[in-house]
Formats: sequence, structure tokens, C-alpha cells
Amino acid sequence: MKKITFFIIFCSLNLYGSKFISDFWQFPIFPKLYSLGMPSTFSESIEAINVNPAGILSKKTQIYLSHTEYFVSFRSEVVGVSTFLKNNATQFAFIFNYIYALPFQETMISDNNYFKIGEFSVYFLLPILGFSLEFDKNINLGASLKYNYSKVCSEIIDSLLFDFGFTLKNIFNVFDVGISLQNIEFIKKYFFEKQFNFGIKWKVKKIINLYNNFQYMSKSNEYKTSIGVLFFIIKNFNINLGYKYGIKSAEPDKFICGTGYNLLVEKFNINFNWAGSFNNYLGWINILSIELNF
Amino acid sequence: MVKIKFFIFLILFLPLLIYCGVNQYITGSFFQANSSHNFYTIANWILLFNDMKIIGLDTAILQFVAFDGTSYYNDNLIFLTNSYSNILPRMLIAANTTGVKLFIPTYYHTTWFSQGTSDSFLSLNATRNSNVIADLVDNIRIDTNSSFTGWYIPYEVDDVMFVSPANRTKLVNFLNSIANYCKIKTPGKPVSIAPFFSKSLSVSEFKDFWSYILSNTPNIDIVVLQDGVGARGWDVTTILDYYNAIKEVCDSNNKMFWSDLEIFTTNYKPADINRIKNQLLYESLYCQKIVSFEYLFYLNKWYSSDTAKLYTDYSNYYVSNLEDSTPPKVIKAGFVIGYNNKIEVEFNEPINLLNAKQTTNYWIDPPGFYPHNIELISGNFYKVYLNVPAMDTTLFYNLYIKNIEDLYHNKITNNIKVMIGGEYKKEEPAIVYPNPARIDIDSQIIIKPVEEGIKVKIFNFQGKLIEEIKGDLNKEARWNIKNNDKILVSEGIYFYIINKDDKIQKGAFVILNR
Repeated sequence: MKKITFFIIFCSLNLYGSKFISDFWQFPIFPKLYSLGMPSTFSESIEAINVNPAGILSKKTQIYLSHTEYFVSFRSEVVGVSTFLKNNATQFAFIFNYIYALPFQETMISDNNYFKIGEFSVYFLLPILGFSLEFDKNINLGASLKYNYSKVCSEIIDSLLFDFGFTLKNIFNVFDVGISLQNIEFIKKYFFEKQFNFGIKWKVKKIINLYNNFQYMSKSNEYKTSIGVLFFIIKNFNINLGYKYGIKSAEPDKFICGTGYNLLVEKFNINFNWAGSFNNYLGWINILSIELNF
Repeated sequence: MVKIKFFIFLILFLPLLIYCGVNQYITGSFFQANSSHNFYTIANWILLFNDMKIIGLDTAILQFVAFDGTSYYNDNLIFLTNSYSNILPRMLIAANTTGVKLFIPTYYHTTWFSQGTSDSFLSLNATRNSNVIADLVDNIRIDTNSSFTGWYIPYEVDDVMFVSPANRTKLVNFLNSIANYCKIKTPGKPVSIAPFFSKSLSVSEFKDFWSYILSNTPNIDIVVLQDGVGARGWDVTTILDYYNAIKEVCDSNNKMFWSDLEIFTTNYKPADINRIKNQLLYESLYCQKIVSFEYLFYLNKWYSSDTAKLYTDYSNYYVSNLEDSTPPKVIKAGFVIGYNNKIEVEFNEPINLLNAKQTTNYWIDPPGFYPHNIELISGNFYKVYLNVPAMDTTLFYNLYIKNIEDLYHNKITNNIKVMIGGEYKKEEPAIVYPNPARIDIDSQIIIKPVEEGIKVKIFNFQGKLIEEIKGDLNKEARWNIKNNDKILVSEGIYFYIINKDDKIQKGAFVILNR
């Protein structure tokens, strides 16, 4: 039944994806979001742009930097800024993401002989412009425009895509619901893997939030679910724990953990975050961020 | 009067001609490839380069790799719209393999002779040259190839178009813009030009012209003067004053002077060997190196019966003049990297392969490792592989070689003793072949070296284990690009891990589907 439902949702969308680009879409660049299992109900941070742009509404100005150390030599850098229009409850956000790796040794085989030819580079540039609108304090709508330019050896892919989503907050005063559609192409140049996200956030107590999320990938027909817990241990200090698992998924099941610390300096609120997950063979993924709110 | 001058010249210089000229050879050649060479395999180029080396040519100056809107490599430039992308990469690999030295050309536009003095043409072409040089160095990484020896600026400078003072200045600025950028991108690599002359200037005017040009182009290192004997049908004795003039200019400006010996006739057929011998005899008096124009269509023994004849004639001339009475020498012997059962032996000159193939010509001490098979390398006359039982490469062995002969039947009579083994057990990083792999072309990916039985784990970009393979006897781990459900994997970035003795080696490679 679940499959049929999602089939209907996606039947009007393109069901093909480029695995090549999907590799980069899965790259974790935001620690808070990553450590909670990428929930589409995550809100009040520029990080939400990566899963549901409706959540970027924070009614603050944010300046954001993050750095990711991924497997082998892959790295990511993010810079972002988000600002709020006070009169009409609108938030704009912009991030620039650069994913890269050390040069690869280019090789070939010819006539059963092995040759080293030179080196080639792999990188991915992703600027995202997003906005979120608030209706009636409990309903947010958001959309984001993404341009991607990626290069692997001589293969270059560039395309313009958008995401949209909404969140419905404070249902029975304890639940938020978020839904988003990602990677819809404006101009169809390549096939991208579209994603559907559905999530619920449960404010169990003042110090505990639970996140549950469901994700469907159109091309590879993958289902992923995640649960996340956010504890406010002491004032201005939180611990996040997440567990992500999938059905027919290219992503391995994994535990993720993270911490955050808020530092208040006069009118500035500085937020430090770390998230990490450990792969038995490939080692740690580490993400660090610093966010300035005022 | 000219005849008297020539007679006096002969009297004075004949002994010198006989002494010096007799041992002068062509030691390099221009290669003017065209679109048809896009189909040449690496093996084809190796064969050509080996042919070339057998007759003493060790240098190849490529005429074009980027001209008008065409390139001979996988370029990243928008003004190069048409690409025959196999030519340069395959030539580089073949040259790396055979030890041929390559001079790589910068950009060229075929309207040079009609627009070469126009400011807009020179400005546009200077920019395009910089783009091509940067593309070749930054993207193609020609500087990482052992064969890459220097640059060639393919605009043919003459003594007509740029004679006026204003045009001389333009020419100097244009050459400097290209040569300086070559030096910035690849410091230390020489830059060459190949001018021609028309005899429209007197010898002293010609000398003045080149004094001005070469004294103002500090980053031009080599002048390869076209002799005009083929294109214009001149007698070689009528060009010697010009050769002498440019030699003196090169000497005083610290440049190397090479001769571009034209091996074709005015009908663009391969020239007669006697005419070429005459060119060699005279031109060798002035220049440091002689290169021919050109190899593929005039000296290539596989191109036509005429070119095969010239190759044979020149080969006979070369061999008959070689005062080679020495047997081959071993210049390298040792285990092939990653193998403990394969020994590489390399000689200083081409060897008789039939003779080199005899296993009885090799002996290893301590005994017990008698080579059971001698492996030849297609197109390579310098090297053989001895297949032996597995040996401990960290120990030392004596390899004895005898009875190997060169192409002139000079034989190694006494045993040559060389020491092999003693390898330091270092962790050599593994490399993936091919990388990037293409699903529609490549049926497997090879990771090496991987010791026999050692496991290699393959992961997708998200870190999920896809497949586990093992190293084989050849120290290679082969993956058929399928996951453990035997389904072909999709394109993407993949990681591998080799886990040996608690030491982990990690790496990444790319699979594309086009």
C-alpha cells in the first residue's frame, strides 16, 4: 500500500536519477541536521535548506560556516547567510557549498599494460538560494533554487533544480509535521534523483525533542527512515543522537551523534556544533559548524 | 666567382667534412599527425617510436596539437570545437614507454602567413597560446610525463614578413608572450622555434635580423632552421652561408642551433638517400642536432613503398656508419615492481630478440631459480622479462647473462654478472586501473599491488560495502564491477580498503557510464 501511494505521488515526476550526482546529494554538510537523521521537520536554522526550505525561518540574521571531513580525502566547505524581513514574516537564506577531494591518479589499461596518465580532479559546487514564508504562525512554506556544477575527470554536469516543502507546527501543541520534495529540474539536462521527505517532530518535554523521518528516492526506489533525539542537557548545551536505516538502500545503517553549545555574547548568539558517525572500515565522518545569530 | 669560392671552401674544409660529417645522423624528427592518426593505438605509436629509435632518432617534435578550432587531445577550451582526442595522450604514453623525447607544440592558426603582422591576430593568438599551454599543463598534466622534454612554437618565422623594424618588434613581443608563459608553467623546459628563410635578404641582413630577434627573446632556447633543400629544391651548398650566420647568432646569444633537414622533394615525395647524405654532411658542420621533416609521411616504413624504401636506405646508411663493435650492455636488471617471479633486463641498445629469447642465456645464483620462459615486449627491442619461480625479493641474487647479441651481431661472450633483489619492504601504495573506468568499455577494475589472498573491500560513496575481492598470484585484485548480488553497479565514486597486517590502505576511484 505504501509503495502504491508513493508511486501515485511520483508518477507525474521524472523517475530517473543520476547516481553520479546522487553521490554528492548524500554528502553530509550540516551537523545539527545530520545528527538527527536529516528530519524534514528541522527548523529555525539555515541548515533546513538542505532538506525542507520551509524550516529556514528563524526570524534572526544568521551567518554560517561549516566544514566536513568525509571518507578518504573528501572534504566540504559551506558558507551561508540568512536574513529576516520583519514586516511579512519572510526569511531568505543563501549557502554556497564546495565539495572536493585530492586529485585522483588517472590510469588506463592498454594491450594488457598498465599506464599512469596523470591526475584528474573531482569537485562539486552548489549554491542554494531559499526562502520561507510564515502563515498563521503555524504554517510555513518554503522553496529553494539550487544550481549545481560538478566535475569528475572530464565529465561536467551542471543543472538548475528546486526544492519545496512545508511544515505544520504545534499540532496538539506537541507535534510538527514536515513534507518536502527535492531536486525538481527547471531545465531538464540530466536525470536527477528526486527525493520525497516526510517527518514528524514530537516535543516530548521541554528538554527532549524526538524526530522521525521517512525518505523516498525516486530512481533507486530506496526507502530510508530515521529517528533522532535532541536532549537539552544543561542550559545552552545539547546532545543529539540519530539512527538511520534503509530498505534497499545504498546508504548503510548508522548511528550518528552530535553536540551543540550556545554562547551568548551581548546580543549575539554563537552556536558551535559537531556531528560524527563512524564506519567500521572507512572511519569517521566529522562535521563542524559555527553559526552567528543576531 | 661562386664556383671559386666553393672550391676554396672545399679545399679548406674537406678534411673537416670527412672527419665530422661521416658520423652525423638525423637524431630526431617532426611529426605532423592528422585526424587519421586518431585511430592509432598506443601499440601503433610504440611501434613507430621503436622504428625511429632503431635508426638513431630519439626526439619527436609534434607539429600541431591545437590549431584553428581543432585539438589533438581532450581539451577544455571553447575555441577548440573539434577534437581528435586520442592522438596526444597515446603518443605521450608511447613516448613514456619507449623513452622518446617529445617537444609539444603550442597553439597555431593557419592564417598566420596572411594575417601574421596584424595586431589583432597577434593579440588573439597570444591569448590562445596561453590558454592552450595552461590547458596542457593544468588539465592534461603533460609535465608529469617523462617524455615531455620541451615546447615548440609552431608559427614559422620567415625573413620577409617581419623585416621592417615595426614588425620585428611585434614578432619579438609575440614570441616572448608565448615563450615566457611556457617558462612560467614549466620552468626549465626549453622552448623551440623552426624558422625558414627565402634568401631574399643578404647574409649580413639575415644575420642582423636574427641577431635582433634572438637577442630580444631570452626564453627561446632552440632554433631549428628549415634547410629549404626539400621545399625549395636548393642545393645544400648554397645555404651554408646562412647556416653559418645563424650559428654565430645562436652562439653569441646562448641558443642551441638545430637543423630541420627536409627529407622530401619539391613534389612532396621522400627524397633520395644520396641527397640526404649530402645534407647531413654539410649541415652537421654548423648545428648541434639534426631533425628531419617529417617522419609520418616521409620516413615511416609502414606508410608507403617510397617511405619504406627511404627508411631502409637510411637504416643501411646508419648501420654501415655505426662504428659499433661493442656488445650490448645491461643498463637495468631487477624484479618488476609488484612481482617476485618476474625479472626485467634492459640493454643499452636494440638486441636480437630471437637470440635473447633463449633461456639458456641466463643463469641465477644461488641455483634453483632457472628462468622457465623469456617474455618479449611487443615492439620493444631493448628489454626482456625473465619468468622465474617465486623468489624472496628482499634477498640478493646474481644474474648471469651471456650470448646476447645486438643487431650487428656483437655478442656478449663473457658472462655479465648483475645483482638483483635486496628490495626494501616498503608499503607501495595501491593504484586502480583504469581510473576512471567506463562501464560500457571496461569489464573489470584492477587494484594492484595486492598480495595473494589479501582482501580488498569495495564501498560505495555512502560507505556501504559492495563487494569483497582478493589478491591473486600476480598481486592483483580484480573486480568485475558488480555488487555481491552480481548486478552491475551504477556510476559514481567508490572507495576501497586493503587490510593487511593491521595496516589499512584506503583509496577512491571513479566509475562512469559513458
